[in-house]
Amino acid sequence: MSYVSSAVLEVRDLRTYFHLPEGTLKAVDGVDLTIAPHQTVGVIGESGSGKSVTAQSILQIVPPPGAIETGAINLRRSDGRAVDIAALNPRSAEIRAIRGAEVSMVFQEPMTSLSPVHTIGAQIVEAIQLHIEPDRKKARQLALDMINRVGISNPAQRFDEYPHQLSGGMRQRAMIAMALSCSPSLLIADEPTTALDVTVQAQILELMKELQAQFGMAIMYITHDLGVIAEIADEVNVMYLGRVVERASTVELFKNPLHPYTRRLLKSIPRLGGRGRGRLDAIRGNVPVPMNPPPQCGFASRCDEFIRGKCDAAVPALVDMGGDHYARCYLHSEESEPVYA
Amino acid sequence: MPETGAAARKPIGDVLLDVRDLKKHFPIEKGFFRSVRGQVKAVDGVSFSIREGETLGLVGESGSGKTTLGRCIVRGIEPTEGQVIFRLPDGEEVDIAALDKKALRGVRKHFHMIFQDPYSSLDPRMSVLDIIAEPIRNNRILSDSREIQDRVRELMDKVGLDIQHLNRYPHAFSGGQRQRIGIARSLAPSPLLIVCDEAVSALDVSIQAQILNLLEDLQAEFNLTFLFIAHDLSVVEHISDRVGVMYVGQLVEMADTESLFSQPKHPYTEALLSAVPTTDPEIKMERIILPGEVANPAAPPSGCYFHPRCRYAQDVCRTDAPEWNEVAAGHFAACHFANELALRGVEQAP
Repeated sequence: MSYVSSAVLEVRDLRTYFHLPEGTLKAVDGVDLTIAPHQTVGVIGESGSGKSVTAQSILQIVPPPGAIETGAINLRRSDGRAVDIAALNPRSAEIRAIRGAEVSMVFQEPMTSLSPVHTIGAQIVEAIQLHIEPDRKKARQLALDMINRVGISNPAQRFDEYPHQLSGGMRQRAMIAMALSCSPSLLIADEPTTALDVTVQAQILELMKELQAQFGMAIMYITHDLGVIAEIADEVNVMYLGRVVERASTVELFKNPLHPYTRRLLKSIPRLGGRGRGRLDAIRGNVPVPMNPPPQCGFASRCDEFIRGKCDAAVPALVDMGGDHYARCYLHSEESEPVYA
Repeated sequence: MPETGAAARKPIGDVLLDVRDLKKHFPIEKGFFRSVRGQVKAVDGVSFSIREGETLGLVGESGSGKTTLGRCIVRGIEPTEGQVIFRLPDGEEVDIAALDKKALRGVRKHFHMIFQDPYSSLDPRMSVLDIIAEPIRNNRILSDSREIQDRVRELMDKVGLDIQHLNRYPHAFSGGQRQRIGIARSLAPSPLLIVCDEAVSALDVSIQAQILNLLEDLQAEFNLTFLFIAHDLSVVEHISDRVGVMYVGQLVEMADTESLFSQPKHPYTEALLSAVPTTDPEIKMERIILPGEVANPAAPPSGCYFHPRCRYAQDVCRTDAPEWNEVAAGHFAACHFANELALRGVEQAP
């Protein structure tokens, strides 16, 4: 694959499937993403949209029986070399050098990713020693510096504390310190504020913006919260049933949503300042499970603008409607996706 | 399904529930002999009332005691002190907090709780029929199994479940459908009051709206009274007639929804409102970033519990606990400077 771009990461036609006894679960079914340094790319979607599996694919940590079926994940490494992560063995030395160092991840629940039996400091030092600074003393200094920079109060004391001694917000800060300790070029944040209180969420969002300005890393921000994405992202990708159905700059997406799913989603949420007790414009039906999905638009079963014989006959392509505003819908373009078998 | 919720809403009636100085303290026990070393004051002197047909929203962050309060009201846990006066359909008033087990069994059918997690709150070994029928059987409302089945079918239809799925088990349903099962179950004994504890928080965004609409439709149809506990301020604003804000076991502000959101009188409410991310990326509100975190209810700060995080705090806030005062008609706040501060609310969206 040709690769000339300033992007940190280019995902092309990624498909990650889970082959289960009852059929094939197409968690990610043809996703394209491009992320540049200093840029925050938002990925928004409900459960089953494939947003988390996309992130797991980028780090090659998809849990079995899931596996990358096809596609390219081109990462520009710190030495300038391009590498296709999708082609790497999940156990290879190269992917292990990338994970946690050049591409790191922050999860929703810090307790599942922090070890309960090691101190915060020891866990950050381990990552630093492994990837950038083998000297124990220097690594300790770097770790302390990092703990300080993420706004953890009393860093010297916190260094020797265990995760359970920290509050939820402080744990999330510790996770971010660990994720940024090796100066990654890409930080994947998977719902990092979902479990937090709204005032603590505001602190963490602020912190991530500050750290991005300092370190210049690219951020892939995954969430289901439209408010959070409006707050932090430069560009938004709306995912539904394993595919990106709309992509635009954040301002454009919220001002001029094109895909019926995005439009309905924006209308269905109660918004602050909405007051009135009028009925919400709910989207009918349930989020389907992408088990053996038919070759059709994923939103067809819930869409009010569904066109029989068209929306259920092929998968619409993701087409630029002008000004880098992409939509995957036959209302906007006749173009279909080539059939992938 | 009834017609639109807003149009069909019944007028708000007399006081149905009157909570007076309710407290729930959990002892902190240590050592082999479990000697009590302190108290976690999860709910510490909360008073409010709800009228029939009204929705009272209760917001607060984790550790604010809102869930504990809800549980005390339905006697899911035993309150330490205080009264929960509830008006029965015949007009008699009972103190739920003081009833003995037998008397409690007689009135339980009148109030019910809906929980956050539709996955863990339903018994996976019971069919939908049994889950919804359980409160009908337990409260001896109906005994004939035909009649019970008919009632369950009626309830399933009301909450938008397919009555064909009567004998299915919870695992066969999605999160939104499970929450519908939980709602049908809570409606089964025809209660007057429903305590919704984060009833839509665990649901997908596109499903939340369906459940909120359903709750409003059911309220209009059965003249239900809701205590709606949630951390999501936009959801609470949408559904509530009045809203109370809790911080470390106490109410710090309570008012009708319009006043509370447009003219908050407590600095904590102001900060909470400003912290909510808005979906309009062009409107950038000045955000108040509160320092620190919610105070520990086992060792709350002196004076006003909010003072260490409050940007308006004065000396008096560090020493004296503020009183709960009516600062405007029907607008209560516990802040020394509630009358002096000009706090910023959320403007009504066009």
